[in-house]
Amino acid sequence: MDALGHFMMALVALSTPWMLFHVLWSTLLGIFVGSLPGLTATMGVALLTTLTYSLDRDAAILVLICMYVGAIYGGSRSAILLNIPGTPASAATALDGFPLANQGKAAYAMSLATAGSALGTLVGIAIFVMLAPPLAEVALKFGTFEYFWLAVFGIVISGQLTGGNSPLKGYIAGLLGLMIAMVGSEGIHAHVRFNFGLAELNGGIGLIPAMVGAFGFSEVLSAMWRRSSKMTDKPNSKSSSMPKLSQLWQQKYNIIRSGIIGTIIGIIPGVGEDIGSWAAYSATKRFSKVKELFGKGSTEGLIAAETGNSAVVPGALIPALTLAVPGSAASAVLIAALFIHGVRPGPMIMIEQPEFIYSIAVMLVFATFAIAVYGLSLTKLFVAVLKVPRAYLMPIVFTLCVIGPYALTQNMFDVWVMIGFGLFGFLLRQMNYPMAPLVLGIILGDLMDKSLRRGLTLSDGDLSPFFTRPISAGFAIVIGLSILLSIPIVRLQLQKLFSRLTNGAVITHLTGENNVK
Amino acid sequence: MFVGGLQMDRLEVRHIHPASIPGLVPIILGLFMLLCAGLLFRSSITKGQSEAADSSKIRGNSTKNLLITLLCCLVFALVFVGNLPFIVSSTLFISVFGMTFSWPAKAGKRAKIKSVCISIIVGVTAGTLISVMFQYGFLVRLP
Repeated sequence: MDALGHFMMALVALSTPWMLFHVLWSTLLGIFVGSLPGLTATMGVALLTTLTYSLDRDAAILVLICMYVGAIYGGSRSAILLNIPGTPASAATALDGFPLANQGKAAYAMSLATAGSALGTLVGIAIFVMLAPPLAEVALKFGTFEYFWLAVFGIVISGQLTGGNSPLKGYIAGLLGLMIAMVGSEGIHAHVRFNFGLAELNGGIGLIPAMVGAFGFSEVLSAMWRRSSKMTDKPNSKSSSMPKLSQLWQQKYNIIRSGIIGTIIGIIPGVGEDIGSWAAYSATKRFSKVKELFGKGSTEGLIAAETGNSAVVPGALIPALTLAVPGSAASAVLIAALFIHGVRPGPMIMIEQPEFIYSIAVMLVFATFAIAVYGLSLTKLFVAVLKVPRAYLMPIVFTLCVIGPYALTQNMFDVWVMIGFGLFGFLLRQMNYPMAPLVLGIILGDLMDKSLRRGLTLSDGDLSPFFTRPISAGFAIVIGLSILLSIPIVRLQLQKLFSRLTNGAVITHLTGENNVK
Repeated sequence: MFVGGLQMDRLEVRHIHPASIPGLVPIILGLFMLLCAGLLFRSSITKGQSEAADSSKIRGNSTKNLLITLLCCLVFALVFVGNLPFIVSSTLFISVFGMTFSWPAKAGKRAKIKSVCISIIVGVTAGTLISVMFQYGFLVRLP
């Protein structure tokens, strides 16, 4: 009841005409950003952060959340019409969305994607409201030892899950992020490290210029490098574009399952929407009665992918707000934006600003309604937006990449940092290094460094508290197992062992049955 | 990072706890990076041939476009910005970039003039809007 009361109070407080105006423009902008291949949700949130400096706290966070939700949803437009995911989160959407569009059901597919995204976000919001406050309470029990393991856990899991076939590349990206975080004045003795004689590096590398470079400039380079794509020649159909309620009702288990999977993936640090979408898609395929339709225009697959990626957004905000550990790359930028606007995410948030979590839930609800309204009413406009030539769009994006980071500090050094990270990010992408662990490393580097050295000081150099305190021990075991399981030889041996045990059990079972006979 | 951590000041004069020296985490990170680099090197030798086949996907991309984009962006950010008024540099950059990538080389004179006109209109509009928004909307002293 207390939660509902807080939620209603936040709803009333945020339901002002000015806030609703912010919801309308920022969600629409988010959908445009997401729908244009080459512009990602993280890039949108990073660029928009630089435009929200002058807004008040709630309006700024509302605008960024609407951009985030809108962009993740918007990615489905180009996935369906161009077979090119607008954002990496919509890769699974393209598998069934584009075949549906080629069958002349593009509008229907876009409506299904809208319904999936909206319902997925709502499932995520429900879990967000239920989980965030108790998680913040648990996090209050975290000491310096636990925070060290939490940072390591984030990097290891993110590296493993986003590294694809090569978790090693994920780990290396995470280590690079941690190394970048070592630049500048450290948090215990204020000793300046790795500044290479540049006074501008004494305060460390700014997160916003680094993110704008890694996700903005590098995307501009990638987009111009790629050959342009061809839109489906059957975007408009004469058949009904709106899914019937009965059709959606048939998908209720799919939506709930995909929503829960997406939210859980969102909670895992630094994993993100693309993994949430794929996980929901494969789970739905496993449970489906018409598996053969997957990849050929399955409505189940399309709904699962969209529900999964949209549910990651509220999920990713759970650790971001309660532990200050981002669940996705875009939520990492949101953490930076929260600090800029005077909000300190972390376990103390439920003590210092208990209403804030419910305000975020209301903002997510607003964004969800906005994507539902826009998605069902502006299909033709989105088709037109996809025709905007890259030749005119990309220089505008790059101009914003330059002026955005500069606006925060009015220092040209931040523009150079943006350029440096853009080139670095582009090279890493071409070599198949995931960006999420890198970002997570930059965010968590300071926490890991301070927690390890503070913990060692408290224990007088003794390492045992890192392994004997209950929560620490739990983290250490999970991290150890994750790393072990990512080693191919260990995985192979385990598979052999399991198959031997299973075969042995089957033989014993059969022998037992024969003996009985 | 490893060497930098080892050579970093241990702050003995400040009598800090030896376990809290600033170079501790850089040393550990450097060691892990060496380990990962070694493992990656080993796996690249074993996978070398199979991954060479993946390079075919890069062939579909345009290196010429990439180099032109890189040149335009670097000239704008590192040469124009700070030396020219921002409104001028951004207008120039957006117009030239648009013109370069929308240039209809094989089309007639009319299409070429149209491309130039559209690029200039987009450049002037976007450059002016961005400059005005930051200067008067967000009160930023533009470079």
